[in-house]
Amino acid sequence: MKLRVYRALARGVVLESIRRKDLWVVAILGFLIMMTAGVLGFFGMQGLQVFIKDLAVSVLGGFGTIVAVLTACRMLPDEIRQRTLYPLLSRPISRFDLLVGKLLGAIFVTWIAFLMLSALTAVALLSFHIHFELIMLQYLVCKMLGLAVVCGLGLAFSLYMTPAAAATITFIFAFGSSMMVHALTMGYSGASPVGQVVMKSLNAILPQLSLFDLGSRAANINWAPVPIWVVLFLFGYGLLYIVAMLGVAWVKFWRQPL
Amino acid sequence: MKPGLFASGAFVLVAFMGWQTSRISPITNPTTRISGLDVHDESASGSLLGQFRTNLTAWLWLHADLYLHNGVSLRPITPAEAKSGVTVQGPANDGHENLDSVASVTVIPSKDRDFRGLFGDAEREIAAYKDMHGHNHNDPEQCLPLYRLMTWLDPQFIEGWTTGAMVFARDRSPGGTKRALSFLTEGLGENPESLDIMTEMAYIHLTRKKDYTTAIPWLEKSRALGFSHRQNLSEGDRTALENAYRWLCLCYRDKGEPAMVRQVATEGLTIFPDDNALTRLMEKAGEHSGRNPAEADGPRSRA
Amino acid sequence: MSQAIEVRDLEVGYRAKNGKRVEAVRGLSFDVGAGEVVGFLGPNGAGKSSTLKALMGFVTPTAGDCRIFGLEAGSLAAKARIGYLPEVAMYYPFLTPLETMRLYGELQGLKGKALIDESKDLLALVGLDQAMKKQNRTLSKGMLQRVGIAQSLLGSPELLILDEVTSGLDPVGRKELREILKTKQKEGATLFFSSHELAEVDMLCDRILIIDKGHLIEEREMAGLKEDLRNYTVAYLGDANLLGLTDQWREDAGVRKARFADKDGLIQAIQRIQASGAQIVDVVSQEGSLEDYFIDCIGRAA
Repeated sequence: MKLRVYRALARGVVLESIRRKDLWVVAILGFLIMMTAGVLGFFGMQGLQVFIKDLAVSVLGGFGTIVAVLTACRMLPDEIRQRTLYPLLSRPISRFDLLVGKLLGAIFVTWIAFLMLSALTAVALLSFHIHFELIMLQYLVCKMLGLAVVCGLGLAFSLYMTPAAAATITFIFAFGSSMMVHALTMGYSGASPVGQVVMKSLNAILPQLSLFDLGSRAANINWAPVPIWVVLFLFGYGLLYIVAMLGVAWVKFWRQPL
Repeated sequence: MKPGLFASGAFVLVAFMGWQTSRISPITNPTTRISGLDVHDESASGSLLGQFRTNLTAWLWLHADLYLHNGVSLRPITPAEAKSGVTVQGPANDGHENLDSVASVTVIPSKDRDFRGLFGDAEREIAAYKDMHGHNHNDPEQCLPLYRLMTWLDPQFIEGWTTGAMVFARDRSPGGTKRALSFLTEGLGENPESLDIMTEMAYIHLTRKKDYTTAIPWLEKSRALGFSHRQNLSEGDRTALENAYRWLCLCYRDKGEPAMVRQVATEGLTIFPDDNALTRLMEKAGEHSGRNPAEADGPRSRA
Repeated sequence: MSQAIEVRDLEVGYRAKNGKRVEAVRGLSFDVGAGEVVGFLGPNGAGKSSTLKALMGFVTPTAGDCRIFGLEAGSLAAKARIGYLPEVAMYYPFLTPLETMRLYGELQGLKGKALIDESKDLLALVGLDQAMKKQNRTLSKGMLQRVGIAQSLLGSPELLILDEVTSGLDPVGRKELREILKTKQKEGATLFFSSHELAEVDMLCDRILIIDKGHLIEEREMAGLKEDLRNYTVAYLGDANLLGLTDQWREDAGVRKARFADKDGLIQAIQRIQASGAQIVDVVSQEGSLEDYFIDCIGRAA
């Protein structure tokens, strides 16, 4: 019964998003950027390989993140503002069920957009005679997982602040996660014992979104695929973080007057 | 009455600012902008924060580093790290070691320096990471699209033109040389008074085609422009001018014109008094005065 | 009779934008029996919607208790037995009415062909059979209200809670809705609805509750109320002494008309008229205005 509820809610989100033509904008933008890369073809195939792959992973990562953040951060505030929430919650579903269903919908919308862009990217890469490697498939899978975590973040933040503020904070985490973590590693050895405890705590709490990005390996040359334990670790961590974000969202939402 | 007075005053102020534009334009629109890049080379935290660069050209310039290092991010070593015994991860002798001018370590720390446990292990498997002690570089040709983008986005970014041209001409093939010269010609069109591009143009003509006839006018032009603006030269322009003087001396030496060598070297030493190469060339020109030009050495490659 | 709705000392408060606490419902208590049709009336801002939201679990009462068929209001078991029509509801603009019904039906535990068939039947019942495959954003306000009515009837709920049920409907739509609700009532459903259309309340309800400023100010059975509101008018030609029986009379083209609130007064008046030799032209019995009664209640409460 729960699965049916989640599926119904998620399907509603996806249908709305597709018909609102949100995803077509993403596809057109991605297509334009890849065509731009073709203009540089006069350098010859040799010089273009790394650049094209780098551009591809950047475009995929960037636009995927944009779709994830904008979808997740607007979803519940729009439902509350437009009052589409009342007929939903008048059904025998809990507010937690609603959160899970909506989050799944946001994740599916993001994944659909991401896979559409990936398909366009694959066509562009093939046209430049760039071969696919296992590492690129791993990049896609891990990135999709990372985008699911971004959706969770956006959903949680959207219940505590305005959609614009939630989107800003989520973007900061999404694009600045790597910088934040590396600042911690750089400063750790010189920090006081108390400072080191704080840094360890921050490292545990901060969303390690950069872990889901295999772009640097996928774009460059001759990097081996990541071991299976890493992929499983990412699955576990991603799932745990999403559940945690659902909990954060539920704490605010469960008694919120509508 | 009062609004009219304010408007007139504002107009006068604007006119005065416009009159002064020629004095301030070298500051607001310099032809080289490498000062921002120095932060990346000199400061570890500046390098880290560089992920949020506001200047896209500078970002592309630093991105080229990533391509050369096969995606592995490096940053300057901090004093604390150096003190604690962390070793610099310098390049091997692969012919491209000049691409690394700064003592660096990987941004992702090695396992022994990482407090993050499993997260750190995972990141070392996920990101482009490896031990970079004695590292090799990728073929710089991979960076060509970036240089092209840099110069499109910012035609005044001189290093984009000169470095891109060097990469084109790296293979010493006629096709590569032609593309390099074409690239520099385009750059000169955008920056007609760039000493660096003129000097680079001459350098390629000399080292790839041994074409003194084409190279010398470029060097003379660079020299004349640089000398006339010698009080206002940027760091990059000073380096280019110094090279121009050196190459001119070598050209005149090879052509058996010691008098010109002395003239050029003397002039150059007024701007670069500590330049040993110019001093040596001037001294040798004095020694060789009257000797057969055919006995003089050919131009030595800069690479 | 078992109670479909039990409300005891309900208090619902909100924090306004200026930070001050606003008590929308204060100490409200009432019951609605299973199978009853109860109208919930009150001026704007009286606390009707807040009460309905508390029954649905959309807001948490600050005090008091609400029960639906003995179950805690807002619980999943309670909601499974309710069909709810919100006051101002929007439905996903890019879904069609049929897809909307399917979504809500699946959330209710319905599925498959049975759900699709029931959705189509309900949409046809509310007059949307031609529009069931058009996107909601292309429908008018009245049509969206019909979508709302249809979705509230999904699964044949035992209790219908309808907020401003006739809002946006034209007279034909209101008539059709009355028929639907009467049918549901005959099938044993309990109806609890708020409306500003007193004519609808008059035609449908067994009982009315009137609320103002968060308090219940009046609770009346409709049958008794109608009887109490009924008045009688006798028209006659000639003179008759009706002093002490009524002070409501007028003369119109020679015909005198006197009004009486009860039958006793009328009978005495007729006797006096006949005794005085005047000629009785007409005797009329008419129902009183619910609107006047409502305004009177609100005025007394103020």
